[in-house]
Amino acid sequence: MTEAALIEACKRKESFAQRLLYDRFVDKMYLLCMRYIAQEADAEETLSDAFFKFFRNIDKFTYIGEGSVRAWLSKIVVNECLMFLRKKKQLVLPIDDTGVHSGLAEQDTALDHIQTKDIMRHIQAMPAGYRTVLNLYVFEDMSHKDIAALLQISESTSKSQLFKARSMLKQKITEQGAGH
Amino acid sequence: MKSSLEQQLKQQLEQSSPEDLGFKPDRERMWHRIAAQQQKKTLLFRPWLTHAAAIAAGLVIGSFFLARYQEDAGQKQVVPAVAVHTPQQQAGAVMQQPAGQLQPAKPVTAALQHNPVTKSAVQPAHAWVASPSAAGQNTTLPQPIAAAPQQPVTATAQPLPEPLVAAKEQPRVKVLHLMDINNENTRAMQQPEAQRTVWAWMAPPGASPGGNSFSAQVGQIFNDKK
Repeated sequence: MTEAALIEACKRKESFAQRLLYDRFVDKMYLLCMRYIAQEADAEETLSDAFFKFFRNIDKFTYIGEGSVRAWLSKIVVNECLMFLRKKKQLVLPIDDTGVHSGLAEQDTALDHIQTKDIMRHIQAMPAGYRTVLNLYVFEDMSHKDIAALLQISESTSKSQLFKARSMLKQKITEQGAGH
Repeated sequence: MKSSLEQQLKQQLEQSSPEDLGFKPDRERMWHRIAAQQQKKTLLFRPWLTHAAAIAAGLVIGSFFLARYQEDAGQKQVVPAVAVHTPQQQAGAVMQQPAGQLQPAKPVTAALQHNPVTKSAVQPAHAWVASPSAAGQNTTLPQPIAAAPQQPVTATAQPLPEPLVAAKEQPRVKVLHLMDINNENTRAMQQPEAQRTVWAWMAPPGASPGGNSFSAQVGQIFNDKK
């Protein structure tokens, strides 16, 4: 069944179509949640709320092509994760961080000797602020301007947080790589 | 500007499943939670809607009956119980009524407005008189019966044990005979003019005090005698 047909069926409140759509995107959205929220139970609850909002507001969605469903669903999940972090008061970011940061890309580090799940664990171990900015910039492909508007911080703070997140991740990967 | 590390990381995460990264999501529990949230939203709405609809229906029905009650209360005319006097107590014409010509289910009153004995007790609004149309009947023209001021009429159907006693002549008397009754459904109560007379409910639709009917002529005779 195509995505367009599934969307149309979901708009008619057909339960089997909702379940098919859920099965199609639950894994990717679960990993997205786990990058923002460290605890599995909280991540499952947030993901359920996100899907509920997705089905409730599906009438407002217009299918425009392959990937549009995932993009719209990802946006809903990210917003739910941010709301959860704000509610738990874990998303603490300085208003204006003028720390030293570099606009240059970090040196490449080979990931051959480290597993992806270890990197995922390192990301989850970061502070919520670092982790959020890193996820929004790297995985959601948002600009610092958009991140600043979303998190209600300055662009310099966004850049500073990203620098610190990268430094921490690099350090973790280096330590783990040195241990091997 | 994203580094190759970050791009590589993104690519690897995209291709991995939760189990590959050491996670064990409970997909069924998440789906049940989603379904329960959808049903909960619907169920919360229905009881409220049902209760509101029941209250609204009760108010509509109650207001309907209240309006109808008020309307009926304004139109009813209650006549308290009246006394029927035998001919031995009054001087005047006596009419004998065969049983077959009795009007069924009509309130029977005898107006004795000028009689000091019954004046306080009698509050007539209606009276009827059978016509002398029956063959072989010893009937006489009934005396006009006074029409008292507007009083509520008791809806009791009492058979006549004794003939009516005609009261003294009263002003504004309208006598109707069975000959003039063409239609049993003539209700002069609906005519504002006829409501003022005692015989209003028996008047035919086209009847008028000044008409050429037999009852009108008889009424004129009595009125002329006054």
